[in-house]
Amino acid sequence: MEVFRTKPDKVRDPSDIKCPGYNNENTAWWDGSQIYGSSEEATQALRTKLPDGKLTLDEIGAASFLPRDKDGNPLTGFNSNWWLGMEMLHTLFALEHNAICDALKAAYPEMTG
Amino acid sequence: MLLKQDDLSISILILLNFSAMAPPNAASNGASNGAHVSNGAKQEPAHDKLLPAFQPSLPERVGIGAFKLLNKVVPWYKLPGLIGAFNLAFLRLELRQFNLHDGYASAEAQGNSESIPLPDDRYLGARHSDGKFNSLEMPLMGCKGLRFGRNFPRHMCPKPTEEELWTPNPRLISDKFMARRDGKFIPATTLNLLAAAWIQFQIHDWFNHVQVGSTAGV
Repeated sequence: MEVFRTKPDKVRDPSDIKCPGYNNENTAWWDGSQIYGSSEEATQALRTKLPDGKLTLDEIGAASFLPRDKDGNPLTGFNSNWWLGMEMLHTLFALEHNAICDALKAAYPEMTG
Repeated sequence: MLLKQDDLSISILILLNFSAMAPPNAASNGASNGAHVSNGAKQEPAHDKLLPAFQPSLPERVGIGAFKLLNKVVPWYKLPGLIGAFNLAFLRLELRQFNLHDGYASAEAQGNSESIPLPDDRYLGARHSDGKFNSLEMPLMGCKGLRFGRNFPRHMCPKPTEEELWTPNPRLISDKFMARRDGKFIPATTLNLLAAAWIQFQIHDWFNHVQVGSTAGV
């Protein structure tokens, strides 16, 4: 098992030499960034295939699955340390997102997607 | 097997003290991480004192004290819904004051409404993918790429030496808490695998530290 070290931020203040800060690659807010990504490009890339602002899901038979890249990694906002539990929750939230898109579309048919 | 250090340290934290993930603490961290500096002028480098960086107002302090008294008799989760919600809100204020500290020496890193103007009015009500503009006064608060906030003041969190980093050794911790005793499986009685998945899912919403050797740039 390999555990990487955390990389200290560059020194911006003399106190950073003794007490460094550590940058966060995610948004620190509980804002769904693991589902939608932490950049506009990531968010857009997850929403290209389906209409009405839906997240991309691949249909295999009657079931929907998270899309995969060429190496088989799931395409979602945050896909490190993947296991069955992550697959389950990320799929659930993507399905819920798309269900809300459908509900909004039905309630406000005049709105654009 | 590659393991993100953040997941590993969080799972150890959970093992050592599950109450660290209890709702009051979580509510505070999630909603206002890196957010404590209410006034840049107050942030003097008084490294010898433990100064709360965020000061609740007088009515807020009264509320914190009142709920503290009430909680000696009734915990927040046994109060009627709305009152319980207010109780949580005041617990959050207290935690923000004493348990949430900026990762930067000054509040400048969080930006201000002049240096980082709102690019589009839609972000008044919609999510910005980078996590900006949740605070209009400090638009960069908690956004992607900023330093993660701390639960202790910076001057109390010096970079560990190599010796400190390995004391206690992670393997010792693992052996103490995870090893089977007398060859027998120790069942978890308070939580199941779904809780583990849910907590990891939340952590992935929250932070992922830049790593040495990681290719992901910020």
